[in-house]
Amino acid sequence: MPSSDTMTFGSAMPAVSVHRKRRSLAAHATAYALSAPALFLMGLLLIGPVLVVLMMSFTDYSLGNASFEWVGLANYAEMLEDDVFVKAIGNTLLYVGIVVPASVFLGLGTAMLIESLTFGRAFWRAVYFLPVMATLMAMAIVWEFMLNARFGMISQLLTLLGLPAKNWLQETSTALPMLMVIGIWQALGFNMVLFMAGLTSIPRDLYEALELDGGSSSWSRFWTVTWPLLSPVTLFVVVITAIRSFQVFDPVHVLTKGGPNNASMVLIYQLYQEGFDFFRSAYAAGLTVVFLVFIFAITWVKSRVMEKNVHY
Amino acid sequence: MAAVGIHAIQKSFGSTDVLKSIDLAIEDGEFMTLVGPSGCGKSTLLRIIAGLEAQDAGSISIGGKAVDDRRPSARNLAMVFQSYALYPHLTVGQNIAVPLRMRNLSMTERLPLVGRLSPKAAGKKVEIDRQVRRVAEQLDIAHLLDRKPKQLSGGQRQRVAVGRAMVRDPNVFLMDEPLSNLDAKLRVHMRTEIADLHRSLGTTFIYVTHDQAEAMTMSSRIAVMMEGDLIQVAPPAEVYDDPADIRVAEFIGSPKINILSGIVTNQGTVGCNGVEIGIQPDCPAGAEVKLGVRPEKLEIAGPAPGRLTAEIRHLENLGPDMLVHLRMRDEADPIVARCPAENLRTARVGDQVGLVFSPGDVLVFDGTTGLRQPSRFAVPAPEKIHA
Ligand SMILES: Nc1ncnc2c1ncn2[C@@H]1O[C@H](COP(=O)(O)OP(=O)(O)O)[C@@H](O)[C@H]1O
Ligand SMILES: [Mg+2]
Repeated sequence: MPSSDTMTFGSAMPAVSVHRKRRSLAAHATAYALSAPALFLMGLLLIGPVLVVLMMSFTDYSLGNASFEWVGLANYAEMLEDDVFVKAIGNTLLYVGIVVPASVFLGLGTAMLIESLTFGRAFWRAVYFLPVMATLMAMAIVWEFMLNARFGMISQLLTLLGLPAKNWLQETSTALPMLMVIGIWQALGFNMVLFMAGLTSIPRDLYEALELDGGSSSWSRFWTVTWPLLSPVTLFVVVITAIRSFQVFDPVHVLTKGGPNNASMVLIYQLYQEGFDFFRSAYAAGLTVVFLVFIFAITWVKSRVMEKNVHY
Repeated sequence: MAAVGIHAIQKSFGSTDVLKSIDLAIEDGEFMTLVGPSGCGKSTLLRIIAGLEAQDAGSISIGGKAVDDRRPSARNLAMVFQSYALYPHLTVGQNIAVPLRMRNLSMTERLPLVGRLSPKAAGKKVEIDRQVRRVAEQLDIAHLLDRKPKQLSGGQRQRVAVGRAMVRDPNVFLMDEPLSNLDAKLRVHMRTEIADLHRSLGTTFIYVTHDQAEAMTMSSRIAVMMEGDLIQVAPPAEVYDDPADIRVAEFIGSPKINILSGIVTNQGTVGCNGVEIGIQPDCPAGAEVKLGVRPEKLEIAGPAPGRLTAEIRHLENLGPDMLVHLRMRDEADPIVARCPAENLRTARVGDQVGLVFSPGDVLVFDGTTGLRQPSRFAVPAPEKIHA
């Protein structure tokens, strides 16, 4: 909050403004000089490549070719006609739409359950965090075994219960849902740890004040204190999980290759195929731009929400 | 409004006994202050009264009924926390409304949509708003109702916390060091306000502080706690003039009481630094005693035989009064005298001066237990001896 002192100080400035201007010019020069290395690296490593990708998406370049033509928006026009792209976008949005809420709410629930335990917290924390630590490639292979139609643990369990065993990852109707399950399983531990940190940072005396104010049910504890005070953490978790879900690739690559019949095709996997299997670099660049637009959109929404929730 | 009974309350955390069997009867409408150094168990006792902490033994009664098996919410107490514990995401108005919403609205009525659809809930909400406004006006924070706690100063937050406590009619107000986060000037001002609040509400207040000045200025009675024990419960004047224990004498009063060591002579009087003091404690000859004299009871005079002498180390001018810091040979602790400034026009640092006091102002404590020893003046009791 600006105090009245600083305001009077500010309005007294015009008297010495000439002097001040010269000084501020020098100060600006110093500021630019000091941030130049960081700006240079940012340009080189972040903005540069994005610009290159954007340029490339307006060409017909393919890997290995010596030359290219400018084709304008042709790549983007092609996307609208491309059934695989339409499928990939739909699947990716569906994947994000399921994995984000599920892993956020399960993560919060698990965190609250584990925090309410009197002992064994460290053990359960480790159990749920394990998938985060493990390499997803290796874990994907474990899932492949578990889901195998003949000797997989899950299929055997279902057979035991008298239910039909399926080749989960090879069926059009179950391939994408299975990837979602793996995605939730993986994100859950990470979200749980973030929520745990958020829960421990809620001051104990707020719950005590609420208890004396007459809110003694877990329902009012949750809605009056826990949920509102966790909202910054929740926002962060949602954004992180959304961005990671948009990037889903490893399990698709290891388990389904986007199949069967593009049933589990997602944006990044299509990008990979176009760029590195079919060497259609320009088209892949166009897909990358689409991907970046989604990421920017998420970031934008996040900062808007942040602006509105300024309470702490 | 209710009396509060504390019966043989014990509490330990692990192997440390934080409360060692506390007994205290707080009368209806009383302003009782629990005072003591940090870590002596004041907050723990207050939290046990509130039900936020469970005692290991003993019982708490409110309004004559044991409440040990009642949850904090069912004890109908209000508490002002040291941190204020305001809900950061709610406005001042919403913060103050929480106790009413929790108690007067059902779970469904609290939902925003239901509140608008059901006329009964809407009526209740209007009444809650009215109550919140009434309290806010009483506390001079009506213009802050739409702010968030983050946008308030320390003193304003403190008022909001008080507002949230008084918006409903609690049996007892509990306050845990509510002024310790305020600056010195505001703290002094808020002492008066809280005392006024107590007078106008007439509710029982239990107030915790480590600041003896707060305890002295606001309370009907003071309960002095040390190391998990209550050592004296009495009105402020009595605690000051008639402390039951040397620890109470040393804790209450600023500047601190002067303590001199002495030995009971064969005549039954006390010898101190080679000077005989004309009081006779109920102690055998040869017993070690501690003599306590309040700074304002000490007078500075010229050195004379048979008079305690000391060297002036520092003079602290308070305006009307002067604090004279003295060093006496053979005494480890410095001596402080508080005298009217005009009596000390000629005093200089380094001067050797004599100390004069009336034996009636000397408090005698047992040298080993620290307990207060009853004592008589040596006969004939001179009006003012020059010891
Ligand atoms: N939850 C707790 N666990 C362990 N020790 C505690 C706990 N609460 C308080 N204590 C200890 O009990 C003693 C008294 O604490 P407290 O009642 O807060 O003191 P005060 O309020 O008088 O400063 C302190 O030594 C403190 O460390
Ligand atoms: Mg305390």
